Amino acid sequence: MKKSMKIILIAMTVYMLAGCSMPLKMTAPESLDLSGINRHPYTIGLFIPGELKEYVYEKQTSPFDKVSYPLGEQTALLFKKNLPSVFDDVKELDSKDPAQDVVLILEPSIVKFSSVIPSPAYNPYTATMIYRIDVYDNAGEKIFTQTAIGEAQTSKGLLSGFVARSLASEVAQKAMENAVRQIIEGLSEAEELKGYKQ
Amino acid sequence: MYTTKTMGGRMKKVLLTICFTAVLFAGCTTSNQRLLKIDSMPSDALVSVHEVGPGSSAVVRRIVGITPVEKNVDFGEENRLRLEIEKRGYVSKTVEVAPDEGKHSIHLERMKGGNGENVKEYIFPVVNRLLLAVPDFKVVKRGFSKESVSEEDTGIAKEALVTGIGAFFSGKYEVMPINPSHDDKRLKALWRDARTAMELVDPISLKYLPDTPFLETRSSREAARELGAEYGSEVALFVYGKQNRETAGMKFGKIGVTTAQTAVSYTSSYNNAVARGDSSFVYNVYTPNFAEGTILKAVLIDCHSGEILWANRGIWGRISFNDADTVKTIVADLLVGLN
Repeated sequence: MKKSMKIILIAMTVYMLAGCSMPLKMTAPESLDLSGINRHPYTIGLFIPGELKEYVYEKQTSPFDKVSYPLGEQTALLFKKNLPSVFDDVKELDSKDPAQDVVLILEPSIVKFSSVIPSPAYNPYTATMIYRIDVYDNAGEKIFTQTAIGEAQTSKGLLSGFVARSLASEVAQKAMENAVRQIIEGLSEAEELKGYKQ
Repeated sequence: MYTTKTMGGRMKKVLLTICFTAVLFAGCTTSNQRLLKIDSMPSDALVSVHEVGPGSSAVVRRIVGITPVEKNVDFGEENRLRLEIEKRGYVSKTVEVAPDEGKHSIHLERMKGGNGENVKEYIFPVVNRLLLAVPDFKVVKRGFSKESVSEEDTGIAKEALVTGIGAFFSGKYEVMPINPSHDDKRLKALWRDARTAMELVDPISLKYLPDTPFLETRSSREAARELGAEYGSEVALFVYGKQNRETAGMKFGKIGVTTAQTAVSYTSSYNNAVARGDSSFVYNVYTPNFAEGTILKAVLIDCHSGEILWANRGIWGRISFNDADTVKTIVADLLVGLN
């Protein structure tokens, strides 16, 4: 009896710890509405460093509970999906070494991410994302940098506690989308990126 | 909050334990306060201590003051401090100091730009007219089951902020609000970089940063220059923020929840005490926490160069934007250092 109790306790502990560090579920990002922005008529290379793609932000919400945000995966998807709205074509690259079939190489990075998962759960859920994108020409020279901030807040009032994880996920995604939208608009208006041809 | 129904012998023991623990911890946190005297050549440089925060490997920065400075500072267990001395246009210097070393005099060397020229020191330009972008501010109403931006209250808040800022500078600078519809594209670029600066620039160390911080992109610097020339303004002010307000339904709901929690705690503690035969019991009193408040961030930009001249941010409680005196106080608080 004692042995079975021990096994149950260990199993429960493992289950609890595994459950606590489970990543937040984030829906696949959609294309943002960026109609009316200026497009650049050439192909760019998108270099997303491995450490960015795999980046997971972990937030300790209590001594036993941890929420992990798959920010790298979402960031990569967001940029891949939305950069074609400002450039003719986007090719994913494995390195930022100058490539012949692309005119410029873009490298995004996360400058800062912060989120609030409130306690009590009915207070506001907020998130802030700051992205930076560096643009290199074919000689490997940095020709442009844009940093942009995206913020978001949400809650379901007193009912928030029932959907706390999905609210934390939703607000982080909104903040990421806001920041990417501004990065795209910045790229679209950048004088430094005008005048290049395929 | 814990509440005791009767004060028995057990409670006295608890109090004694708390006092004993407090004495123990007080002993552990004895600080090593010693006099630090530091001067720099040239003076008016920012002195900060870099130390590793408790329980973390992150470096914490603590401002000591502006040179020349004499101040009692905690030298820690190592009896040494790592100081950083910064001044705009000069190469920042890090020095290790110990107490009883007398006055430290630090010589700062000029910082050179890309073409070998001296990086300019911090100079606030002569201002006659200040350009004011309509504040990017929103009022969020948090209800029982959802929250949304109140357009009406947002409009009132923006108008009150514009009026309050105008009044703050009255008699010093002429304040010229920018027409947002007219200059939308240029303002978009400016707002993008101004918002990033509001977040990333440290208001305290800004004027002491060795290198001059500018708006990040050429588009926004161009926009600042064009708008400055068009309106005849030397500087442009950007204010961003939000306010959370809770509806009566939300407040009532929170009071209900915390009252129910207190009742449950009381009942279960009482029943347990009766079951044990105890003459006293402890229960929790839950009080509602209203998540209301206002956050404001601001930056001032030199229209001619795109230099970030000043930044500040702050958090206040719920503000009534219909009350001119309250808005005046908050604006004066936010814009401190600009008058």
